[in-house]
Amino acid sequence: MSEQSIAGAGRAMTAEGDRSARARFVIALLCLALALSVFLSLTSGASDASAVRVIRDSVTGAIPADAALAARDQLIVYDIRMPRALLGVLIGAALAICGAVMQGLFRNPLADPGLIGVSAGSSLGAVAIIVLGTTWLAPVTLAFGTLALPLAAFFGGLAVTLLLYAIATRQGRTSVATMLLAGIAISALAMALTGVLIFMADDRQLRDLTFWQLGSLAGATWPKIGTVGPVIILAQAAMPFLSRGLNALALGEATAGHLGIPVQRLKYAAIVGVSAAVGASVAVSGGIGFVGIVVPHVLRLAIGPDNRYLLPASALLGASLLLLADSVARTIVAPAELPIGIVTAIAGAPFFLWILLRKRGIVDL
Amino acid sequence: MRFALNFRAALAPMLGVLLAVATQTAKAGEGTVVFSDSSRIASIGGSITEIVYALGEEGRLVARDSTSTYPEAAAKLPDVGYMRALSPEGVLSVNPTGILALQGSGPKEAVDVLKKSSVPFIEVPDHFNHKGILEKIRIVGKALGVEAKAERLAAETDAKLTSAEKQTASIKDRKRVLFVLSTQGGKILAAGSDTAADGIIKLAGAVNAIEGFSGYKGMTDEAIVSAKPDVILTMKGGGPPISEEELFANPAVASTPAGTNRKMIGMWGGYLLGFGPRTAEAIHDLAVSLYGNQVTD
Amino acid sequence: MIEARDISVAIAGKRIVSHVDFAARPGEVSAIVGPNGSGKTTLLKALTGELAYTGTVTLNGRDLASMKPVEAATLRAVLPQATALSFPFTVREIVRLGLIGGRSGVLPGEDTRLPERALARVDLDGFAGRFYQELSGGEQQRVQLARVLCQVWAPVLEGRPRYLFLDEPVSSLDVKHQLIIMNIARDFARRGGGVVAILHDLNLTAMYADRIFVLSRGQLAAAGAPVDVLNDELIEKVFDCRLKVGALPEGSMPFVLPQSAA
Repeated sequence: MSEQSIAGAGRAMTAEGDRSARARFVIALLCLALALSVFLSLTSGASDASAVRVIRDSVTGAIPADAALAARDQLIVYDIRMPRALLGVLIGAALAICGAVMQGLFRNPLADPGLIGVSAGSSLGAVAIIVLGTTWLAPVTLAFGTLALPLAAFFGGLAVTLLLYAIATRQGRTSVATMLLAGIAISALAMALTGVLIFMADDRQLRDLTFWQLGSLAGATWPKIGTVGPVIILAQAAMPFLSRGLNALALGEATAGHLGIPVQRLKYAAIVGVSAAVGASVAVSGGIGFVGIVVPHVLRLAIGPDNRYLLPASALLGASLLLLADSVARTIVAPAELPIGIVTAIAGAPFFLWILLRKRGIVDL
Repeated sequence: MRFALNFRAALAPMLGVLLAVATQTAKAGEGTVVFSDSSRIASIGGSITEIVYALGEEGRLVARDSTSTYPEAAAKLPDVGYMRALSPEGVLSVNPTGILALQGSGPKEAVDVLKKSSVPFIEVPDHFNHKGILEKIRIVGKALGVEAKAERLAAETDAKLTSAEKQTASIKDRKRVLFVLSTQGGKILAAGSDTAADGIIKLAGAVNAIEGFSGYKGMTDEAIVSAKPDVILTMKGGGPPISEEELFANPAVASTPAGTNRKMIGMWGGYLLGFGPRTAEAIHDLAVSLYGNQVTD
Repeated sequence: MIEARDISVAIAGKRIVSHVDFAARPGEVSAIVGPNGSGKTTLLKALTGELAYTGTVTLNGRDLASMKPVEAATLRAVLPQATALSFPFTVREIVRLGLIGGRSGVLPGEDTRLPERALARVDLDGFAGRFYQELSGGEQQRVQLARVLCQVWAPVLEGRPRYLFLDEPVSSLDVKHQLIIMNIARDFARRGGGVVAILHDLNLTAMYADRIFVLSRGQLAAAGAPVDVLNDELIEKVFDCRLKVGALPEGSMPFVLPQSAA
């Protein structure tokens, strides 16, 4: 969709410089796109199972001719594709919203949980549980059970975000150059510590790790969604309440405060929310990159930087794009599948470079 | 598609590590040991596929995993991906009537979903010794309903293995062998106990130079020196081969007896570590490489 | 009434403002003047609660330190010296941010038209659809002023006077727009609000200020009406520069003519 066509849709009916009508129009389109993506995700796959027929049969109670085949198709649709589509929606939305919130918080379009090390911190937490869960960290796994991994991922991400914020912020001003460089350094440190853990890992743990580090939605099961879904949903539900504050923050922390925004509380809420959502996402699907940076950027071009619209639109577009990427991952080498992190990186990295080139001279590093 | 191949190539170095998994528990599936309909079988694990071919039952195969590269004809079957990174829908998409999977197939979530499906799933245990191979053959044969054939293949394999083991029985001076999985980043990843490499080294009448840890671990220089290997064993076919120059350029490796005599053996990964019908030949080949004409026929 | 007693501010261990008393009354334009580095902006930031200070600041009799951001935002708006923007907002979107607190003081429903009215007041009619980052420095400053005006559109809300804090509001403006902006400030005061402005142009200060606070090296050098404060001796001492202060007509509004550096 070109910017002009959207502009035309919005500009005719409202005052100059007001992009809210256009934003609402785009959000309506994105709802449609998400519905289509979910449909595509449910209907595509390595097998020829027809989601439409399975769901219709379940609803009407029709007795299929081939019972064995019907049972297989039911399993494929209800236990493989559905949890996977739902997980894709949750994680795509979480990653995109977290990207938009981080960018608003750091006042920079390049901030991204993956880029500045939040994901690396989450990974470190998760890997620690995988590798040390039966030895040094046994009390943690005993106490929290299946929640230990998402919790560790959450605290890993939180620690990195807080550290980064403390390092990059001096007298209320967040230095972008310091933030990016510190993010790279902290990422490297987290990855090095992860490396130490991998070194200590045995074969079985290594297998879990490699599968998980590449980033994939393949582990989607209903119990898993039951564990991390609420965390992601809660964190996401809190985000839109930040939108007003994040808008004010675009004018600087001091001005946001003068406008009546409790800036410190806003920052803490954003950091905790992002860490929770990223931590939970990383815990189930590993590191899936570039969604958080590409999605909000595209949307700012289309509807402007107003977070009241940007955050919900990011959630919708992030979910749609991740479902599409996953559909590609599931079908391109069928019956095998690619890790989705590879698909998003291949599509996202060149796009990210394009942003940098386009912005050269405008982005103040 | 080209990208997909590259990706597999990138995974290959890890493949070796993952091929050889310590086995604690042996269980042939849960409940199912015989497929009620064995007309369409998905075979996961290189040695399983080899056994199916050795039984002459390859007509039943409808899919294989990416570690099933022998015999060459198997490569023509649809590939459901690496055995540790299966996609449940991918496996089900070939409409199998049964799934034969080597122990260690994963990820756990995928296997759980497959077990939930109406398609019978038989997990074949993987032990890195003489008995383990025969057990695999019998389990596969039973699953396919060709127990008599499997018994014949097992007896034949048993005889071959016994004779291969005997070839080195009279050798007094046992060689110390260090299996090096990879040298990535200058770090030497070697095989400890409970690995396929450890199993084949023992069967070939040699001694694993590593003691004290199980699985594959990175080695410090000092540990390499004190392991005193006479021979370095490596595998081919799992990513870029380990170069002799690079390996012996490592001062720790160079200072060992293997380094002084520049003694390195490279064998095909699936052949060396597969623990299937060809293992007797692999034992023989390795023994000949180690002991030359000391091997008695 | 804004009242500050014994205000001291230290930044990174260095004392920038020491023991300043300050009072700005509703109905008046209070100007803070002084040479570069005399602590004007630091004092203003203490008065708006942006910087930590010792001493007390009260807004309409209430202690600033105990006020929530939203309560303070209802009573006063602040125009900073410069505002760097991180994302491509349109002019209207920026001005509308002034309405975030929802206490402009206009009738419900009228606030949607407020951005246009505020832009018209700062002589930026027709700029609503432009991108902020594409404007000149002077235009950006006026956009920010329009935003600040939206926040406290009514100078008196529920019987309580409200305040404008302006840090060099005219520093990058041409002479016409300097007068437009200073007229807005004076009008705000005439209608019952209070204005505190940091100014550099002593003549403009003399024309518009009801009260002048002169800062020198972080301390208050003088305070009072322009006629009382602007004299040769003080100006020369504080600004370290020979200036001739005259008055037009005689004994009335003073003007300052630079002679030469001391």
